[in-house]
Amino acid sequence: MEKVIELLNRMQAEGVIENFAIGGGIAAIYYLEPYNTDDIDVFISPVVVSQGGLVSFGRIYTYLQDLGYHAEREYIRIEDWLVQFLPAAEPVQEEAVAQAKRVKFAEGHTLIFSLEHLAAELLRSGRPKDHSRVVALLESDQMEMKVFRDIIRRNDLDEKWRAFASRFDQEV
Amino acid sequence: MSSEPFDPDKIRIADIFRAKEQRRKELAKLPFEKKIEIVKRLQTLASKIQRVKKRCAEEAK
Repeated sequence: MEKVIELLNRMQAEGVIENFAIGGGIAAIYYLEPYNTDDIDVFISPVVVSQGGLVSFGRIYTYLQDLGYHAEREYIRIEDWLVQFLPAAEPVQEEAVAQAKRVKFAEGHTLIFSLEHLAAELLRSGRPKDHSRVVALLESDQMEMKVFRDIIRRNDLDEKWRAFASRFDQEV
Repeated sequence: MSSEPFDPDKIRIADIFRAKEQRRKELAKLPFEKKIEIVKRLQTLASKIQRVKKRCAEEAK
């Protein structure tokens, strides 16, 4: 993963991407116990969306292809990892990128969603596996509930949180 | 888990779940680099299992 981190930092330094943060499974593993996942979700911001709703990742793909890394479906393989670039299109994702946590990895640093933003984004996403990770994050005793509740409120996720809390026996 | 000597005939259900929770918390405290090493090992194992499963399916045809 060192190579991926090195490349992301290089892309940011060279202006290929402006802001980024790792979310998804790898971010969850930063806070929880390790489990199997084979991709790295990299959220980027700002995102330029065309009138037709299309997002262009052309610059990123060209940059990486010039370095010898090729696309595999919606991913780009960098060494052993499948990296997916995702637009931080939802307000909670945008906020998660803007307020990402700087974490050390090997000789470098990278940016990862904060625990509270990760939980809020997983709650928004709402697939069963996302919900099970929210439960694990809540049970990890690392979550600052006031920060989490503020994120929920700012990003109009109250309804999803109430439904989740009632289903998983959490205090609203 | 209790600090009493382990007796396989006197296991409390609550202790089993407490121990699992404890183990998860210990794993969560590992350094990020170590966790990624574990993920890489899990990926290798998963890919080996996939290959064997595919071979078995082909042989069964």
